[in-house]
Formats: sequence, C-alpha cells, structure tokens
Amino acid sequence: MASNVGAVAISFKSEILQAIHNLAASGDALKAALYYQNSSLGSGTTAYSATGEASGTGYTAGGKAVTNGVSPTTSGLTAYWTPSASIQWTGLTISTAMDCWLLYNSSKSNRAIATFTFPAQTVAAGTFTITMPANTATTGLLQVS
Amino acid sequence: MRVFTTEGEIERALLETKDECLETDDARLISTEWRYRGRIVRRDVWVNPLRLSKIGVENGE
Repeated sequence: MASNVGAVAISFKSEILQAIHNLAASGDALKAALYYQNSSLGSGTTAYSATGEASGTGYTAGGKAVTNGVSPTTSGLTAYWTPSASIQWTGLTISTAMDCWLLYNSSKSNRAIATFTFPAQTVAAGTFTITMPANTATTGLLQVS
Repeated sequence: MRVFTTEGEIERALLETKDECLETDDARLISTEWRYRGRIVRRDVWVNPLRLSKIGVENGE
C-alpha cells in the first residue's frame, strides 16, 4: 500500500461536470471517514471504502456526517465551499496511526470528493477534531478557479 | 475534576499532560497526551487543514 496523499479526487472533477454532486446546504449528505497510514488514498480514490479505514471505540464505520450549512459561492474568479462546522469524534480510541480523512458524498453512492492528510496520530479515549478553515475564496476547503 | 480516560475517570490532579504541535504542508496539528503514573491514558488531537483542495486554473491562464 502507498502513502496517503491529500488531493481532489480526479473522478470528482468529472462528476461535477455531470451534475452528480450537489454541495448546496440543502443538497447531498456528506461524510468524513478516517484512514490509517499507507492506505493509498489520493487523487485516484473514487469512492469510500472500508479498506484501510480506521476502527476502534467511538468510531463508526463510514465516519461522521459533515455539517453543510453554507452553500458553495463565488468571489471574483473563484468558487469555494467549506463545511460549516468542525468534524469531531469524542470518546475515541484509534490505536493504529492514521493520517488521512476522506470527504465523500453518501447521497451519491459514496463517491469521493477529496482526501486530506495530517501528521500521523493515534487517539486514546479522547477527542479528535478536524477544524475547518474560514470559508473564503482564498482559504475555503474546496475551491474551483 | 475528573477526566475520562482509558482507565475510567481519573482525578485531574493525578494526571500529567504533554502538548505537542506538529506541522506539515497539509495540516497543523495539536495533540495532548494525558499520563497517569507514566502511562498514556488519554490522547486528544486537533487537526487544522492548511492546504486547500483546488480544482482548475484561473480563467485566461
């Protein structure tokens, strides 16, 4: 297995041209799943898979729902979108190091949107939080320009 | 104050904490390790994505 790489799924780029994904606030249900190191996630990831996914107390397979309270918008030449809340697991124990989370669309056959990496970590009976950047044209989590 | 750990709730005063900050191109991360008698009994992690996911190039380029 190869290292995880942070990237927009290549398949997502094609799928948005086919109007498959709807990231509007009242649109599709999005989820975030956590993955162990070297699970080969990256631009080639097309959908959520349980292979390489983290497991442990406090973690449900498939991950957490992503709060989406703000629809994508534009500024200048850039369209952008960011989840409207942090993604958090509490009472979590993941004993094997993980370094990646996958944002995917559970309303559309679990199609992948993007992968994001971080320094490998374990969690023990604790809180794991992925905070979101400010939703602007230059800092939004997902941008099209 | 009692803190939830892998060994149940432990009085805060009996726990030692160690905070660590790590940063890569993709994310900045803060972790807190809680130790009881030298053993890690809790670990919390906060991840701040730094590198956004961008599609395409600007018009005209």
